[in-house]
Amino acid sequence: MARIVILGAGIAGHTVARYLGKWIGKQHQVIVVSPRPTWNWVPSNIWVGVGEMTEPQVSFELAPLYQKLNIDFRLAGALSIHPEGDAEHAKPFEDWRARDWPRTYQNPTYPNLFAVGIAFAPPHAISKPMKSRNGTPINPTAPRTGMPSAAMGKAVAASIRDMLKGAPAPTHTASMAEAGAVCVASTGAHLFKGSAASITVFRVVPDRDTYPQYGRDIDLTFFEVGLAGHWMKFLLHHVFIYQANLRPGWSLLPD
Amino acid sequence: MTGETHEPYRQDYYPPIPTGFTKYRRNSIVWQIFRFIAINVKILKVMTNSIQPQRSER
Repeated sequence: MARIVILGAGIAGHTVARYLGKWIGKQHQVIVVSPRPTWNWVPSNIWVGVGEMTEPQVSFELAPLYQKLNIDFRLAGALSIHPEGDAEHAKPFEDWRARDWPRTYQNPTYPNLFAVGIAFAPPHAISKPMKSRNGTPINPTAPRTGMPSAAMGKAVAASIRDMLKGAPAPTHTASMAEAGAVCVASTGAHLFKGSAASITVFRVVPDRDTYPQYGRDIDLTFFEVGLAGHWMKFLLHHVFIYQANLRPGWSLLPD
Repeated sequence: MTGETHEPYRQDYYPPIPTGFTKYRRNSIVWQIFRFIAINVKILKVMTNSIQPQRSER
């Protein structure tokens, strides 16, 4: 019997836990370690911040859920981890390619170690370098938002499942240079008033070999302001909390 | 490899300013119903194109 330890129960960690619990929870030991007892649907926190929702509406207790999946839940904070990772892969912005981006999220030195969500170190910046008026460099890091984080979590869960069955290497990938992301920003909650921004990007990490001009598919990369964004955000709020709560049919919903 | 858009931002870059008609459409229920459908279609295309085939590698 194998033991799988998941550090963190955010969107990525909880996704790994849900799928591993479903696929192998009865045959192997799955342990989740998190410093907080609840799971939080982070995208709706903006509504909590402006007083449109309360904390219980965007979070729920993890222990009862993990008990259903035979997952051992430890309320604790991980203080350190010591894989001897490779830190020599940083490249200047002008020299990177989409293929540099990690695909399986497996540690190059320790094959039994994976990093998903915000846990992995991006190999390079993906945004154009900028400077403030006084010359201070401004280099935003690559976003690990909900959709790519969950995609990574599910891919790694599937790889772990397959490796436990004898696969010699990870079998699933979730490169941000081959996938897109969706974001909806809204500070209002009225269905007929106000507006929100609906944003998609494909691909998250620009691929200038496939899309030479912009690095992205412009048809699938857009930013639109309007009331429809409110409706989208409500839809996503209820769908993903339903899914994270392991309600009937949860694994049929997209991650 | 580098194209025109691979250079750092310049100080003369600025966001577009919406017209009155654009602002009206942002809150028009009828128009936004169509946009809700269109946005969902685009999101489904993003999700579909993001599915990565199963493969084995090191």
